[in-house]
Amino acid sequence: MNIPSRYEAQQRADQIRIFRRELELLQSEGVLALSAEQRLRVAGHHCQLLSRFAHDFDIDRDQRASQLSLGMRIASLFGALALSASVFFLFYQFWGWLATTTQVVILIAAPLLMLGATVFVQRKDFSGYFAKLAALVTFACFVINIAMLGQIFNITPSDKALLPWAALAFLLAYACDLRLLLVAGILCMIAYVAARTGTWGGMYWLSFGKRPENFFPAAAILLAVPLIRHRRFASFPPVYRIFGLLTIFLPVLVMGSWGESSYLDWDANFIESFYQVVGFASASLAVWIGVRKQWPEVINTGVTFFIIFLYTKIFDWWWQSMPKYQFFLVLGLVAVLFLMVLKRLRTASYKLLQGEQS
Amino acid sequence: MMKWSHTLIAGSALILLTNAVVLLGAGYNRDGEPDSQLLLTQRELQHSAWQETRDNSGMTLMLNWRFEQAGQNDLDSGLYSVRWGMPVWLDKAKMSELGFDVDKLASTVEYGRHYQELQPKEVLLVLELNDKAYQHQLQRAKDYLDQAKARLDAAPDIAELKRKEKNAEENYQHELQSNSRLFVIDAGLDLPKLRATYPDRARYAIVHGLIRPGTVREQNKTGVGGYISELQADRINVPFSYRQVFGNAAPYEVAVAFGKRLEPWIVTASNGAAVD
Repeated sequence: MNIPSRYEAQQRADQIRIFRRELELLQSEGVLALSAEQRLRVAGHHCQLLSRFAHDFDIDRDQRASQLSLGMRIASLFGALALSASVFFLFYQFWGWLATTTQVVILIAAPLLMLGATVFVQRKDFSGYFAKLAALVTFACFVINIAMLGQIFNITPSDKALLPWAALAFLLAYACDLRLLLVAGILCMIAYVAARTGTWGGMYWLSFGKRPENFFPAAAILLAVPLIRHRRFASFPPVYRIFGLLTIFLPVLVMGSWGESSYLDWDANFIESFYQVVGFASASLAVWIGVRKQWPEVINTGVTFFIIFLYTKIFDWWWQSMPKYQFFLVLGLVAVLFLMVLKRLRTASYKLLQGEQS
Repeated sequence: MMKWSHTLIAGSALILLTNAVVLLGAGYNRDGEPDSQLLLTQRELQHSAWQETRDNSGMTLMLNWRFEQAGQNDLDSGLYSVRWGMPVWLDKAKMSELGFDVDKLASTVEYGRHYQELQPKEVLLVLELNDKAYQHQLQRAKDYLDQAKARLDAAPDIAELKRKEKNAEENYQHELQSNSRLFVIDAGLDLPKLRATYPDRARYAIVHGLIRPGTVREQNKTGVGGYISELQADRINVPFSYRQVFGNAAPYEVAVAFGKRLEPWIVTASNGAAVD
């Protein structure tokens, strides 16, 4: 079987680990007894697979390794952020004492050298932790590069800088299979598309946040990207979907409470009511699609925002008028009601699954 | 995952291409005759020491621009080199010329209903160096001083009048010797048109900026005006070769050019020449 990515290799290794435990249980309970030859064949096949995955992707072979790798992920994230900050301050510390040509050469050379280092590290380190570190520093160097050139030559700030930043972040994300860089690219892309939308709407580009509807085109793009098959990057589509949903729900949440910020030329109260309805409808739709498509990240984001929309509305209605114990009682009851609905939904999806299996 | 050589080529190409675009843009701005070139002193170009910290060795100069304020009373006249309030020339007619919907703005003062209209807009701002606007401001400070002196002469024992006369004298001296003479005097959307109106390139610089509309309630009527919310060329980086000019307390003279993209840079800088 061809395993295309580290993410999928890790998933397969986890399945093997679970299978081994279950097999032991089934054998001890007398439900299943494999012959010695079958046991050897299965164990040999699994050993072979795990060795290959460990060699190619440095995956976690057991529970302990998986716990340690969580620590390594956190350490590499903090390390990457700290190193990026260090590069930033290193340049700031000395740039005033350098001639303009030297400044420019250093600024251009830094991301190029770091890109080379990232590629080198990626080839040597299959775990991806050090590659992530180097890739984020490369991205930081490139951001500093363009921002500082702007400062050195007194260039008018422009949203166009976000485009190459996003491009490099996406390139590194796809080249090194790094979700952190994917998030950086997505954030740059959201800011760029929202700024462009704002500019087309007659705004100054830096004011794009004042019109939450500017974020909707970016949301549409983000939700459309996973439609392109990500066979070798199975962990990327959920990231796109989460940020796509956040780019819808957060603006809707703002406009549900602040109608004046909308482009719509309606009464502010009507706009707020409209976006409250849109909020409930879109969160419900997200949960429904998430259940149908088996996208847990979509279900979780939808449920979270449905609750936020609901609690915001309850706060509007009753915070002033109700005694506080009653208010929190209502919140608690709503949570219980929500649990019951989700439980029913879960039962329904089990039935659906059973129906499909039979 | 991508092949490593492809990553290296694509990434390097992206980095180099982006830098090329930025540097060509900066080169284009400085190519040929600048759009304007002003000879500024420490009055108009202040060494921004607060930006230099232990962690930042860079040096930046701040353009110290001002404008004549609308609705200025005597006490305000030139006391400080401030930027709050509405410029006197940024009235309803000018706002309409800049493309703001002034009728909608004037229809009611309720902020929420005007969120759309109150958004800032990118415009071109005209900076005037040491000319009519400054002379006018200087004259106002002088008139205020004369009035304060006359009031004190009429009643020499009143302490409040003594204090006001002292303040007015200080104010006039500041205006004469240290306040900035760089005033924003006009705004527009069309660069050639503005340049035709202000052809003296050694006295008038045109820069990008932002104007935000505003309303004032006066005698049951809504007055419409605008605020300058940003002047985009107001921070100028000091190249290493000119650092020593600003490293001491001596007065300095700086030739600042504004190029084809209206972005500034320091052409020359020296100590000593500027005494006023």
